[in-house]
Amino acid sequence: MEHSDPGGGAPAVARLGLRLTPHGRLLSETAEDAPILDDGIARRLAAAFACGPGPGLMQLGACEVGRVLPPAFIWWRDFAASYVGALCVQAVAGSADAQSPLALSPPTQSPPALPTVSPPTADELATLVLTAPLMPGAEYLTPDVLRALWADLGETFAASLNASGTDLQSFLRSLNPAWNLLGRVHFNLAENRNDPAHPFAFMATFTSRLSAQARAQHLPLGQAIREYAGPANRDRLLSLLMPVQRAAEACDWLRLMVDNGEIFHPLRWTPADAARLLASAPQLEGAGVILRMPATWRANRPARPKVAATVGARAPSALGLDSLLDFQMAVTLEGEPLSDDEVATLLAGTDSLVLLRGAWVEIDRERLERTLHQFRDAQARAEQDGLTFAEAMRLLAGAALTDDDADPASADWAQVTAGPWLAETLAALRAPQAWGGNPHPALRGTLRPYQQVGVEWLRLLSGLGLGACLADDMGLGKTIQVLALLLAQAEAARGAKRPSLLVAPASLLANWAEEIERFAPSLNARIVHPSAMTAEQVKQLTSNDLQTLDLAITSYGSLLRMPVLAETPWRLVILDEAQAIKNPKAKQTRAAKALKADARIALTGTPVENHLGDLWSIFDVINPGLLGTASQFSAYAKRLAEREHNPYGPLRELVRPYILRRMKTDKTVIADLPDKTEVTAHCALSRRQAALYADTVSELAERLRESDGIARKGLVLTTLMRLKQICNHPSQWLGDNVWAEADSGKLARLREIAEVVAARQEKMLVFTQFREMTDPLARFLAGIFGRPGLVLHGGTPVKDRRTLVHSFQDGEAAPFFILSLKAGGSGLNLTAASHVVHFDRWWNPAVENQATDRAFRIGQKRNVLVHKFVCQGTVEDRIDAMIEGKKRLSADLLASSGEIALTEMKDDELLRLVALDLNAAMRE
Amino acid sequence: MSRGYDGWAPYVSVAERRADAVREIAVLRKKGQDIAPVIIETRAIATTFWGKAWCQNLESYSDFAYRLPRGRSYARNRAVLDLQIGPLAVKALVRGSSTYRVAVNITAAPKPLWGSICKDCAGGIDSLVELLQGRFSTAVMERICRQDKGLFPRPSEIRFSCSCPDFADMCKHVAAVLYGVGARLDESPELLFRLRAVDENDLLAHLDSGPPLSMTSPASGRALDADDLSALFDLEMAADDAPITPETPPRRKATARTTGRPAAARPLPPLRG
Repeated sequence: MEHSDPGGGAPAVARLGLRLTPHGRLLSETAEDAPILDDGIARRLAAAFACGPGPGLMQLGACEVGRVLPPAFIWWRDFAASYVGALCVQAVAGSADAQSPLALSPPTQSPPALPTVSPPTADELATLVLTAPLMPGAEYLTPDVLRALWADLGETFAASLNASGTDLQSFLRSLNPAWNLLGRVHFNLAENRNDPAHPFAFMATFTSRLSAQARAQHLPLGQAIREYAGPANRDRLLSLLMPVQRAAEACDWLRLMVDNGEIFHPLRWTPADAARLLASAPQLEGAGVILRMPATWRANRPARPKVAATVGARAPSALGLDSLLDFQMAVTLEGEPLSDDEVATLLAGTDSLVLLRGAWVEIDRERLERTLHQFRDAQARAEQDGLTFAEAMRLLAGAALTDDDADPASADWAQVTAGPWLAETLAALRAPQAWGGNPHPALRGTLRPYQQVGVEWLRLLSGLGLGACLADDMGLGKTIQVLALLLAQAEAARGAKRPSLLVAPASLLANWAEEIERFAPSLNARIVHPSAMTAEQVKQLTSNDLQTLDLAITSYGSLLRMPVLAETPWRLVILDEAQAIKNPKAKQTRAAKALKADARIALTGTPVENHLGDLWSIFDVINPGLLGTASQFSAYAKRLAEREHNPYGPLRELVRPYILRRMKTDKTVIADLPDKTEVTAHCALSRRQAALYADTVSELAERLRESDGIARKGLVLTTLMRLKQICNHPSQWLGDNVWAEADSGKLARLREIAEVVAARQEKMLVFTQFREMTDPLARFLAGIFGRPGLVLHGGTPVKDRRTLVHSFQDGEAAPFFILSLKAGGSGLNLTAASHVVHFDRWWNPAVENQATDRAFRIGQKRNVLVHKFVCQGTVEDRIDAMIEGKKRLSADLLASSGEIALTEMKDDELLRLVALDLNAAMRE
Repeated sequence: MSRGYDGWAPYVSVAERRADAVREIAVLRKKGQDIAPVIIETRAIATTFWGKAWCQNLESYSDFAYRLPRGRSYARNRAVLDLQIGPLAVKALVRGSSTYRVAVNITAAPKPLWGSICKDCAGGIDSLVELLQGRFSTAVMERICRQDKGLFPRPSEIRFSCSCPDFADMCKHVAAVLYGVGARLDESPELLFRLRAVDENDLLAHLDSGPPLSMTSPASGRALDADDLSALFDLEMAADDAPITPETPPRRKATARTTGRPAAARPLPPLRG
């Protein structure tokens, strides 16, 4: 019988994070980058969240109070605890009606009823959303989601209370002793003006019962103890003594008072005694003691003098992150400035409670002096050199003034407000307004209202020389907003022209060229990339050549290979798919940062603001200095994480003016958005694809001459099929089962789209007409999403199809669904997807639309973005143009009479149709 | 197996001693004896502060000093094959060159001593809270283990005997058993009450005999003498004449109580690790 010793090991730790899904469900999950929690807490929380958001929040807000938790958990705990707190207030009022005020024993068993707790007001909810924690899915946090979670909490409480079979108070107590309603120890502090030597009075009381007016009645502690002596009242005695004992453990002065019995009597107190109580407030409250301060003290504390500074009262002479703002400071009390004499009086004494202007003022001399010193320094610097915009923004957000100011509590003693000019500017940035009318005559196309807002916001920020991160959802038209901005700038700068630079992943260059052609043909743009130029041209390109352009377009890779790009001073640098620069150590990030520009704009569809590291890296490129250096930022983030409440609020506040994110789901902003948006996704051909394609075309040219009739028709059809297969992937035609990602431009494009979908936790449908493509695609996408998806093709038994559709529609497990078109084409309802990819084309719009409509049906609440893949410079491209052309003539006509009769074309027509335009096809 | 040294008793390694003890335990078990060996996994004999306090208490008595070190290593080498703690007595089997029977008898704790322990436990807020929660943990155990006025026996209160041929007053086998008690108290501190023949329920019963905790009035300058506390503190005070809970006069003894919480009759294992 071996006896094993359980002790000795280090406490176990677990990684657990919270995630908000697009449906507003709050989940806990273990993830490698999740924060570390105490093992026991993590287990309890994971078990609770496994039962649903309601039980999870109940565990968090009602049971885990007072525990050390990571920031995101703290935010949600605050939220849930505000529910429980409100419930307590209701419960006290409710029980007063139900029972006689004098009854101490629980009432006879009546069915426990839970009072309803109304949710926070719209304003409070909006404030909560603005301070959302940094966590996956934070972008889905809306007042409605919070309201639903609040209701969920209510239902969970009602069900658990019912199951517990006890009354509400015992139930609350069982969750956590801190929720004791009655039966709580209060430390009461009062001002006693009649006693100059001891201007404060102290009394510890216990609330034992309610008066008829539902007010808690207080018993002096000593009296209560005498009353509860005896075996019948041990529980009460315990609930009275426990908070006092726990508090005494944390505060030596209190232990002394308990040991000598003083605590049981009303006492005369000096300001020093009162100050000691104030200083111990967190420990006392943590132990479950309720502190009651004089009613005249706002927020349960005496007023504090604050060092208040105003930045940006006047417009600076020049604009940009380096522009200089004014800075004025004063010491204020409750918003009123104090005279120099009064400040001197405050700083002269030794007590931390001082009577000033007839009221008690709390003062932490050391912190006040240090803050005063820092602010005076800042003022001196501002007077001498001026305060930069970036510094001002950091001050406003409560970020540290200097590196060595690592004391988060200093923030309580300081207050920085924006002066009139800065306040107005920031208001415009935070809530951008559209210009009236269409200010972009050169733009072919009409901007939707939210796009006008976006353009105006970009114009404002880049005009100030500040970086912007446009993070609209994929499909909302980030491209057209940028083009409108570029057109407006090209127009404004007629005389002194300066080019802007657009950097995008190589696979997107074609798309940009296409969009410029379509929406902004007057823009003098050029692709500066080896794919669009000869090697000689690349070598000879100078800064001067670029000066004639409105816009140069290049890839991230070229930034490293073409030094001329780094030498040219740009008007704007626009970084498309800015997640490409989320790694600060990557070469292309450093190259992007080294570009010279008046202002930078980052475009991204992934929620970069939910990851500290990504956020810093992108801001380091677009607004260098705003978030400080990497080490300053991580120190700042660490300090924030240690805050007890609303940990990342200040950081959100700091970056909010520079990030604009609109979501497809946000119908209030985007009321006019169509339910379905179709975009053509232009893909490049890989070298291998191009070679195979060219061979096939020349083979066709040869054999066309020798065949006619049925044979010709067959030849044309098989060739077209082969070309389609090559466009998809060389392995599809060769049957070699290699499926290398680099061999297909479509896979590269699919990766870009899928990564955004995955980051947003959305779902996608992928249609292909080839059954043999479904498995390779499923493997490829599973790698990107990190989870397997679903596949449906002609070979899927009919009885299984229903199950597949169900698990895609209802669960959160399967992130994508691949369907071969014919199988997918009938009777399936797949409204869970918000993205549809047509990996290859049917060349029959009617069939395609039918497939698209799987995702877009009655019941669809989200906007569906349809990506139609087209290999550029190939037969796909030309047929797409034909379909588009016809579509514009009449959508109905095409929908009824299907395909384009390719087999009836003349030889030369046909060859023109399939010929490979190498220049367009190859981008890398 | 053994490496004999000429003229000396054969050296027996620690591993061999342990193996011997394990064999012997198996033999005893086979015979159907219900035995409780003392198995010490750590370097120290005891890990809780009360277990350690027991050992320190032993070592503070110079009468025992001579034999204790050998007993200590015996105990650590698992020589104590069986240890049973009962009222006022410890019975044990210890493996030396043979298996010896050890008996330790301890006198009951004097009534005034136990009374003062009960009073002190009810009078300190930390121990009071523990008692009300029905646990014996740090504060209560600290009082009980106090070196001079606690429950540990003095040398004069201990009598022992061993079946070994050693003439010494206290042989190493007895010493090993005394250390074994320390290790056993680690797991089951309540055995100390058995050993000194006191009833731990007295601790709780004492609570009911009057208001616990000292409530002496504060120093004269500190006491607040206000007519109207309610107005001064801006709160509603319970009326003085409010009927107080039906008070039950202190009973003889706190036997099976009906207060919902299992009263301290069933001591919970103390805090560990």
